[in-house]
Amino acid sequence: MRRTRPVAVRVACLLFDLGARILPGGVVDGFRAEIREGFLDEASDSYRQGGVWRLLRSTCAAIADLVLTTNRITPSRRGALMPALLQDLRYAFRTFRRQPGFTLGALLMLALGIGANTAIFTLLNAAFLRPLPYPAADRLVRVWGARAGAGESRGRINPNDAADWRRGAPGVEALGVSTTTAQPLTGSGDPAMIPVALVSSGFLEVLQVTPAMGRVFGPEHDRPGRDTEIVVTDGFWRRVLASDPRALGRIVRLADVACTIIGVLPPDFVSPGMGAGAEPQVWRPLVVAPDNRGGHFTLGVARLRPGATLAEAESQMNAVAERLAREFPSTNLGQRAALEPLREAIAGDTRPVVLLLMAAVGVVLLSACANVANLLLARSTARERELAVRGALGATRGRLVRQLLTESLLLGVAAASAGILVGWILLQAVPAWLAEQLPTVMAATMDGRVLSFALLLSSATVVLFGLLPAIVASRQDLRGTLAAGSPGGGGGLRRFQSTLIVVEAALALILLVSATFLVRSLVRLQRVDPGFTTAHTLTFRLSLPRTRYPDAVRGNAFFKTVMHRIAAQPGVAAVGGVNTSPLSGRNSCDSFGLDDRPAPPQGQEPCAEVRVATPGYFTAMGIRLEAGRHLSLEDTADTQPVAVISDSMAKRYWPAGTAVGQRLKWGSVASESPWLTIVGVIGGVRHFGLNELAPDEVYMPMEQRGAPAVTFAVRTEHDASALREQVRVIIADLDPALPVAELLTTNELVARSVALPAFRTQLLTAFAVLALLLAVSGVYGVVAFQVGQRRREIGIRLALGATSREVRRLVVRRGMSTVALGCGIGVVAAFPLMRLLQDALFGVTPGDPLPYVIAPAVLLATALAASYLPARRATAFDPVDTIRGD
Amino acid sequence: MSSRASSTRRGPDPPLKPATFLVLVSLAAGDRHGYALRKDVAERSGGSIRLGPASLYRTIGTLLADGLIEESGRRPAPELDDERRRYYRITERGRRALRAEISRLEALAAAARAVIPARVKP
Repeated sequence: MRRTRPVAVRVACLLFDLGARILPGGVVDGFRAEIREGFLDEASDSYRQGGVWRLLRSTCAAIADLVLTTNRITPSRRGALMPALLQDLRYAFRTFRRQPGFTLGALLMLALGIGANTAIFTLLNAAFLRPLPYPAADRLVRVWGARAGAGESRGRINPNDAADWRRGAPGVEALGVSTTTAQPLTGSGDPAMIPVALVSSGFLEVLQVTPAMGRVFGPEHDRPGRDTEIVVTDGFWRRVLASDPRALGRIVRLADVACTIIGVLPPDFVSPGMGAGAEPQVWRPLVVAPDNRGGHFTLGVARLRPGATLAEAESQMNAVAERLAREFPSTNLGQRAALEPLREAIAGDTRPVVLLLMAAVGVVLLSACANVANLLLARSTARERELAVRGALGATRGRLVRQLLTESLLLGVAAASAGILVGWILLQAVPAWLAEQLPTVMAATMDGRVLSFALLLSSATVVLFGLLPAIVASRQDLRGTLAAGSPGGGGGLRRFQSTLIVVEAALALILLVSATFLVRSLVRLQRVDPGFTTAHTLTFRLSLPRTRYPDAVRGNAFFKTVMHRIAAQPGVAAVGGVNTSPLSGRNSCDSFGLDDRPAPPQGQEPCAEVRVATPGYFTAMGIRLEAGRHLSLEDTADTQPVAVISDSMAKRYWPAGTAVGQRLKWGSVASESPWLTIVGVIGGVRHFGLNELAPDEVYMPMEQRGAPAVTFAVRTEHDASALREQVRVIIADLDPALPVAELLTTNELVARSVALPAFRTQLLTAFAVLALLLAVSGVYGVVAFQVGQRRREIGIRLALGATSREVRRLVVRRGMSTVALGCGIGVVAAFPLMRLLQDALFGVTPGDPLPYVIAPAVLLATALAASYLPARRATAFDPVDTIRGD
Repeated sequence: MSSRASSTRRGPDPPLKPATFLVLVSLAAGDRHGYALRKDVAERSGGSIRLGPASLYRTIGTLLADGLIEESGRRPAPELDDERRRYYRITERGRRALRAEISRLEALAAAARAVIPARVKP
């Protein structure tokens, strides 16, 4: 009875057969068919019971059994295996040592390929594969807020809503909410802003953290009165508290408030991707008024009960959400919960980037394999006679293949070790500040899985580059080769080599096209006018603690002194401050009403970013004035409340250009807040990134509306960064307990905002160049090899009167036709693939023709150079010598 | 490690290897083909003895050569059968060898028990 078997089982059987054929020993006489049949049965069973993994294990075990058994029991072969293997190895070593150029080249290509793959896989592992470092992490979910009307699906949630959702959802075991902020730490050395997590008591419970010392928050911390009790991380405990064993009960001053330490987190604890690079060092209780339903500012994380599904929990929570919408229609209408596995929520947007890079390094490795396979092929052709002699002396085909495979294996092992090292070095090269932009929980560290991947990859590589050439080489006709006495390299071999070049060229072209797209996109992004000057301007941020600066009067007085002192420094041209700095991405959209038109229905008011600025700010930042006037020193608390708006807002509401003189009011027309008269219109400032349009902004004078935290801009006549130290000194002099944060030039501000796309582009470009170099060196290798093979033919041509030029053209044409074919295939393949890049592109569409011109031009030009070199050498042969030579 | 005696040698049989022993036990319970035999041996040994496909046939080869087992002419119903499978059964000589091995093991166990009694449950 014949059954059809799954593909995986058939592949396993193929491997087993291969093992039976070429591994030392072979199969017990007379049972070959049955052993095979027995293995097939076992393989089918394993596959049915445990999938591919189990199948792989039993296949390996069976092959191992094959080697061990046959060797142990066949007396004539006993003792023959180890010497034979050693002999193979020694022989392989010797051949490699004889050809250091070949060995080094092959090793380098493979090590780079494996290294790049290992490095990118480490990122992929950290982002998608490695389980989060919490008990039963697969039951953890992110709780998002979704608002049907606003088209928002992954927003922040209200803590009181979240607590109600949790109570009504039996599928949820625990739920906590968090938000992050930075607070000044004083009284422990230099004042510094440190990242702080504000959490509900459920948060650390969801993560099931056991503190190293003391305790974590309980339900009593969700009510007012206990919010100065804090839990600190192991890092904070070591650095700030000098690993004090009696840290519990110690007081630290945070935001000028004395806080008591009640617990220390364990050393291996990391937050679930909070603060995006600013890993919280101190955890404080989050206390919210019980009637607050409108503030959506926290991120939720929940633990599902064992057995409960995500969909169940979500629908249970949404049943509660609907009830809340009826109860509090003004705040909760359309507000829903949306759950997502926590690991995916943290990896978030990095997924397409990491997958893109993984595909790119995969291409690099494939090219490296193809090159090494080509080198090995060329080499084995050169060794044809050696192999033929060995065959004639009685070596079986299996034995010859084994010899060649041993050489590949040796190469593979060396390449794997070098590759893992290269991967490690590549990871170290990721700039530290960029790594800081990623959540610590996603930190790229090599673990067992990465090492297994590298080893598996290397083994697959060995098979790819080693097995095919070995089989092709050992298939050579012995008698023919010996009799002819000259190296042949038949048509089959040449076709195989050409195919590899075509594949390499196509792959390199796809990468080149992608890289060109990304470079073009990055250039467009960097050319975007941020709306402010990037030259000679330094910014820094001060946040005043409420304890020492309780009101706007005292705050403004302090800020004025700061500006006064800095303006007095030599070389300073202008100083100003704003509550929210450009490109900071801080969200402060507030709804407003307009005087000259009817109020929209409740809940549909437009919103604009709230800015509070000093009169000098626009000059210091180089923000253009479009109409009317800037804020001025005459706008004080006693004069008419005024505002300056951005041009996008002016155009949106007063397209005829009549914005100046109009009036607006925060909240809605009916609200208590005062009418603001628009006195000026300024150019828009990019706020959420260079790729996002400037938002609508309303600037109010600081004298009329205070701000507890201000980012100052200092315009200088020369180098802005030279002023850093003076700024620190001045602030330390005015208030020694006030930390200076975000001390950056505007140039750095812009560079930071494009850091991730820039890094992605650099990485992909590097891989594309690597693939190009590999493809080109492949072309060079093959053309050079074929020239060597055709020496006689070329010699005859020259002797018969062909000019060097004709011969060169002949050689180059052969090489270029393969590359051109690869190029064509690459262009056709790249076209649909570039659609996948769409989200990563800015200002360029996937249909842009330029990359499809540039990339092939680069590839063809370099390939031309690579095939011209051997062609020139071909014509340097002395025809008489070459014809007589053999 | 002692190698198996050839079939021509007379005298007391040397001890059977555990795997060989279990193969004989399994065949004493009924005729089987190779893969069934491997599964049965694994089951009887509680998973501690797993024969790879090649080691199984090495054992079978030795047992056939020693005349302890033979190929079975009996075959299951054709629709369950695979023509490439060979079935094996234990010979009379095989049963004798098995019995001898059991007695030997019992004697060894008894000798050991005289020194270290079986753990008695309180």
